[in-house]
This record gives sequence, structure tokens and C-alpha cells, in this order.
Amino acid sequence: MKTGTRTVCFTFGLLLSAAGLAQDGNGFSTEIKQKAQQCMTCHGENGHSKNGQYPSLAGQKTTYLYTQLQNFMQGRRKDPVMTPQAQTIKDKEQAIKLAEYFSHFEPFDYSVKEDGGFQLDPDKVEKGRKIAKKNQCASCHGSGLTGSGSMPRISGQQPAYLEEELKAFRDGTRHASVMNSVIGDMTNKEIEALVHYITSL
Amino acid sequence: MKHKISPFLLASCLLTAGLSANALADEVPVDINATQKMLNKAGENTDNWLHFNGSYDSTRFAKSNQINTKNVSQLTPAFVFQTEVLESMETAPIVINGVMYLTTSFNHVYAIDAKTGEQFWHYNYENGPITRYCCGPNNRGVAIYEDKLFMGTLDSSLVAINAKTGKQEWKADIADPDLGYSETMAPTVADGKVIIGTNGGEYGIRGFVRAYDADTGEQLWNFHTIPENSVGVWAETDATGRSLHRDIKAEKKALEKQGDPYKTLGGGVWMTPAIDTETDTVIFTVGNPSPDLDGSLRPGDNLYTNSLVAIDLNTGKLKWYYQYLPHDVWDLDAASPPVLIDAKDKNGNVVPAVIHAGKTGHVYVNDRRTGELIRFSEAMVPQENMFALPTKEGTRMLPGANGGVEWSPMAYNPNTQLTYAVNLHQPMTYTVNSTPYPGGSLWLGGAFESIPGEEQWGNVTAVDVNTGKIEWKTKTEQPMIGGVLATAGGLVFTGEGNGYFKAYDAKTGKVLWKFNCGAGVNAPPVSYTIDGKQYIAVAAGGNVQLDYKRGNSVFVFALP
Ligand code: HEC
Ligand code: HEC
Repeated sequence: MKTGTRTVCFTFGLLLSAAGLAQDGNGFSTEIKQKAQQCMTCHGENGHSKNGQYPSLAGQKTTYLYTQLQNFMQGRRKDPVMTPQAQTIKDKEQAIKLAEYFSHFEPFDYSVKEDGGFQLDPDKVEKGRKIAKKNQCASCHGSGLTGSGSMPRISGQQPAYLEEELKAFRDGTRHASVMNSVIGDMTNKEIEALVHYITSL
Repeated sequence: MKHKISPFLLASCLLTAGLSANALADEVPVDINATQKMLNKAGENTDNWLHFNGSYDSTRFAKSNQINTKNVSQLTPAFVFQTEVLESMETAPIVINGVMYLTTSFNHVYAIDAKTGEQFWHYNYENGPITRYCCGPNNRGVAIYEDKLFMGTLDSSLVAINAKTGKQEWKADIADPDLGYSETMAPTVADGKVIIGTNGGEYGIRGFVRAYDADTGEQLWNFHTIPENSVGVWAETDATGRSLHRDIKAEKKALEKQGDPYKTLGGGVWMTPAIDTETDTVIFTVGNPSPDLDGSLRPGDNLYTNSLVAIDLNTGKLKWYYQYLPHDVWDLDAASPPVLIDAKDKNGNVVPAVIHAGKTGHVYVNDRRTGELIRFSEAMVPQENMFALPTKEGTRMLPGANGGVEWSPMAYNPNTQLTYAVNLHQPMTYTVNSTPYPGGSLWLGGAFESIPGEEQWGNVTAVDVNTGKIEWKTKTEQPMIGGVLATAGGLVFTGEGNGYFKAYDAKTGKVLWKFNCGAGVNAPPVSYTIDGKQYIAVAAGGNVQLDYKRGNSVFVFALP
């Protein structure tokens, strides 16, 4: 008896995914996919960055990505490389679509093993864990710091990028009142420890 | 009772799968009709659990005494229902005619057999791309009215779902999620009006409570929780008479320069309103001002933030308000829902009262006719350095920003005349960092940090509403969040982040029974009866805000 509607849904699902395949795996327009190609030159294939200068975008929360694009577009967040890129985005709708597009990929997951440049230091990891607990990072960034809604996923992000952003929050060159206060006047060592902890997750 | 079968579904079943009408068996097998009469009398009926807080009075008191102090030690799981969603659960299930309706994070709804746990249907609301919410993708539950369920969504919509089929009947857009509006509370319905507030006090919204037509989704009235003149009386003290250390002169100057801050002043409503059905009054608590920690951008008392507010059910017009904490800069707001009870006034006369457990750590007792404060209880948690102002370096003050008492609903037992609250003790520093309104992004105006090395814990506390004295207090190893159920069996049920769900003796606070659910039990428990057997149900999904272990289950207990 119960299988009745399930069959319907299942059949429906097949139809949908068949239709999706024709559009290259998902329901995004060619325009958005082409636009995203431009972004991937820095942010990596499907938003998996291979370079610590550029954040990974793959699987990042849609609302967060969209908010950052808006911040760059409207000058609330500034970066000599990214700002001109954001200015090529047409409007709010395109920003949302780009955010949805990068968000739909498998989430980024930086691997220490693949990148010989970064070595995890167990002492720093431990120190970072304590700081993270005190500052309640997980109460906003979610369990395992994987993000939710407007709160970014930070676990698995490029460590060099994380370090740069945490310092930018501290130095007030990136504005987000919460993060500016959370990081407060942390020393470079404390920030480094946090990065080791986040990367260990 | 209206009995709608979606012609579309029927057609699609027939066409796509070539099945006959028996495909509709994924429906709830009994008729569902929660009449106004049933909803009015919900507190008397022990079979069903029809409101988030058990009744319009929101006492969370179950009149069943089958499970009681003598036999509770034998309580065992009857079944465990697992959802597909492994994320915090704050749902209080609705139970009617042996069917349970529960929700999860990200707005899933399940209809299950409340006796066996067998699933009837699963509704998954698809949130839009933009969602901004405070403390995790939570949902606290549905409201029921006649043959429909109502749920608020993370992307700030209200949906009506057919209780029998699980199909959506209508959807109303409440507000723009891009500006920080979101919904986590369970709505309440009376006289065909679905009543719901909004979240967003962390995003510089302008809060409201609204009524929508249960049949059509049309908006009937809107009450702004922030009036256009939000300044108030420049109160120097809080409800307990302690100084708030305000620099009124500087605030007046700021007002002159910046104008009234009402457009971005916050004032979300976290929890389901109570309804006084005799006077057609909707009573609710209004949350914190935006930005949480930075008072410099919002001169004045910031009406009606951190207040108890009563409005007319039929028109949405203000009847009265009482502000517990004017010009709050600690996020010590009014989150836990109000409870309507009878209590003694200052002269010892029993009057219609309303009680609320504040993040400040006090239970407040107000006169329900006027809003006037009758008394406040002894502090349930340590208070230190109150109300020292946040600084750039960080000021230590107790309670921490989660309270006191968080959104967790209390339960009130009319037999003991005690109200039961769950507490947090989390020493924190309060830091201020002034930034202008960021256009819909998180806007706290600073940060709260816990203090390393300082112990945190929780309590379950029983407060005598007629004296404000603490009758008993039982410590728990972690800060508490989730909510309480009291029963005529002389019991108090509540859960903990470590997975324990416990039963306490209502008179003494002694732990009489406990069971570990394997994930944080941080949701309000409910009670119902099927075929003469009493059941206690509670969700174990953990909590985002306190980072308690996540789960995906509703546990249901009964005597063997
Ligand atoms: C030329 C290199 C480059 C290109 C091309 C580029 N970006 Fe960026 N992007 C950056 C850099 C560098 C940053 C980090 C800026 C900072 O440190 O504040 C960044 C940051 C971002 C962020 C913020 C991520 C976070 O975690 O906060 C988003 C979102 C983003 N880019 C999206 C895009 C999109 C969408 C496109 C295509 C339209 C794009 N970028 C094209 C270099 C680039
Ligand atoms: C009160 C909530 C809150 C807390 C607590 C919090 N964060 Fe954040 N965090 C945010 C928000 C919101 C943003 C996005 C800021 C923006 O809009 O630019 C953010 C951004 C970040 C970013 C930038 C991510 C990116 O892709 O550019 C990092 C890194 C970060 N947080 C790390 C941390 C760490 C580490 C902690 C604990 C020490 C922490 N956060 C605590 C809310 C919080």
C-alpha cells in the first residue's frame, strides 16, 4: 500500500534527474556556468582551491557566499583582486545564482597530506582547541565548524586564507562586528593555533 | 470537517505509476480535526497534546497520573522514531487521535503513529537560497487547527499542511529573509487566526507578531513589537530595581542626532504566545534589541524589547506591556514563553497572573489584567557584577548571555503551585564593538565569550509563584536548554546535553528516573494517552548554541 506514492516520487525523481542530466548534471543555466568558469581560474575547479591565497567556495553555504559577493560588490569588504571580480557580477539575482552554484558542489576539504607545505603541530592544535572553546566558535559556525545559513563553513578551508582572514578581523581591515570582537586582540601565535585546530578537524 | 484530497496527486499517481487510489494510503489512517473546542480544553484532555505548550495557558502540565512518583523508575522506551535529519531538535510534538506530528531542523515534518512509531508521511519544505538565522537551523514545531498544520520556515514563510495527507495547502511569505527575518517558533491558532512572531533580533530587523487566516493564508493584522516611538521613559533601573548604569545624557544627545532607531531595533519574538481565551488576549515575550551589545546606536528604553506584551486577538492592538530590562546591552532578553496561571497578588488575593522566566535568572509574576509586576523570584543562578556595561576589553558579568533561562519553556503544576525552570550558569565576558547596520548581516555589536577555567553548570529549579522563593534546586552537570513538562503524577521531566532525560520529584527535586538517549535532549517533552496507556515523548537532537551532541530521534516512553 505504502509503496504507491513512493513509486510516484521515485518515478518523478528519475524524470527530474534525467532532465537534469541533459543540462549537465543540474538545473543551472549555461550563463551561470560560464560565469563560474571565470571564478574557477582562481578559486579552483568547482570551487576547490589549490592555492592558499584563494578561498575554496565548493559546498560553502549559499547565504554566506551571496553575502560576501554583496559585500564585495557594495564595498563593505575590499580586496584588490576580488573586488574587481565582484564588479563583473550583474546584479543580486546573478550573485544568488553563483552562490547557489558553488554551494551545490561537494564541500571543500583541505588535505594536509596533499599539500606538503602545511604541517599540523599537535601542540598548536590543542592550544587552538582551547581558544575555540572559549570563543564558542561552534555556537555560530556549527558542529565541526561546517557552517549553517549565513555562518561560513571554515573546517577544510585553505589554512593560509584562514590565517589571513583572522588577522584581517583582528586588524579591522575586514569588517564584521562579531568576528572583530571574537578575535579581539589575539596574538599571531594564537591565530596560528586556531588555524592548526581548524585544519585538524 | 473539510476533507480535501489533492486532485493533482491522484492524477499523477494514476498517470505516472498506473496505480489505483490506494496509493493514497501514505495518509494518516484516521480523521484529524482539532476543533476550537478541543483546543480550548486541551489542558483538561489527557489523550492529546494539542499545543506546543500543552494549552493556551502554556502551563505544560499534563493531568495524567498513570506515570507517577511510585512507578516512574520502571519507565522504558516504547519506541524510538528516527528522522533523516541529523541536526539539533527543539520540537514539541503535537499528538491527536493517536497521531504524532514532529518537526526537525530545516523544516521537515513527520506524521507518525504515536503508539508504534510507524511513519505515515514526511513533508520536506524547500527553503529558498537565502536563510539567516540566529542559533542553528531549528524548528520548534507545528500548530494544529481543524484539519491543518501550520509551520514557520527558516526563509520566513508560513505554510499550511493538510494533516491527513501531508500536502501543502498554502504558503504565505512573511518577511524578507535577506534582511534577517526567519521563523523557528511553533505558531499558535485561535478562532481561525494563525498567530506567529518573527526571529531576527541578531540582524537588525523590526519585529512583529501577526495573524494569518487559517483557511487562506491572508494576513489579518500586524503588531509591530517596536513602536515608532521606542524611547520610553529613560528608565534608570530594571524590574528588580537595580541600576542599569545608563548615560542618559549621552543617549538623549544621540537621539537628537540619529533619530528614533525603531527601523532596525530588533525585538524578535522567540516563542509561542499564550492566549487568554476569556479576554481574547495574546500574550508574548519580546526579545533583545539590535545590535545586542551596542547601546550607542539605539538611544532610549528600546520599547518593547525585553518586555511582556498583551495584544487583542481580534485586532492585534496593544492592551499593555511591561518592560523587564530597558536598554539591554547584554542580550539578557525575554525569550522563554509566558505562562498564564492564578497567583496571589501583593495583598494575598488570587488574581489572573502571567509568569515568565527571564535570562536574568528571575521568574517574574505579573498581573494579567494590567501587566503590573507583582513580584520577582530569588535569582535561580549566580548574579555577579550586574549590570556592568560591556567594554572593548570585555566585562565579566553573571549571568552569561544565554541566561539564566534561555528560550526553554517552564512548566507549572497547579497542585504544588510551583513553576519549574531550567537554568544555565555560564560565566562570560561582554565585549562591545560598534559598527553601523550591516544591511542584513549578523549584527551583535560585540561578542560574548565564556571564561576558561570557570565552571559551567545547570539547574532544575522549582519556584513558589506566591512568594518568589525557591522551593528546591537540583544541579546538573551542564547548562540546561530545552524545556520542562510537569504531570499530575507528581513528576517533572526535562533533558540534558549529555543525553540524559530525567524525571524529578515535583515536591523535592529528587531524581527518580533517568535514561540516556545518546544525543542531547534539548527539546520540550510532551505527554499523551492511547488505549489507556500514558506516553512521554521527547526529541533528542542536541543543540547548536551550546554545541551539544546532535541526534535525529524522538524517544517515547511508557510503563512496561
Ligand atoms: C583573480 C582571482 C579571482 C577571481 C577570478 C575570482 N576571485 Fe573570488 N576571491 C579572490 C580572492 C583573492 C579572495 C579573498 C579576498 C580576501 O582575502 O578578502 C576571493 C574571495 C571570494 C569570496 C569570499 C569567500 C569567503 O570565504 O569569504 C567569494 C564568495 C568569491 N571570491 C567569489 C568569487 C566569484 C563568484 C568569482 C567569479 C565571479 C570570483 N570570486 C572570482 C580571487 C578571485
Ligand atoms: C557570534 C557568532 C560567531 C562566532 C562566535 C564566531 N564566528 Fe566566525 N564568523 C561569523 C560570521 C557571521 C562570519 C561572516 C562574517 C562576514 O560577514 O564577513 C564569520 C566569519 C568567519 C571566518 C571567515 C570565513 C571566510 O570564509 O572568510 C572565519 C575564518 C571565522 N569566522 C572563524 C571563527 C573562529 C575561529 C571562531 C572562534 C574563535 C569564530 N569564527 C567565532 C560568526 C561567528
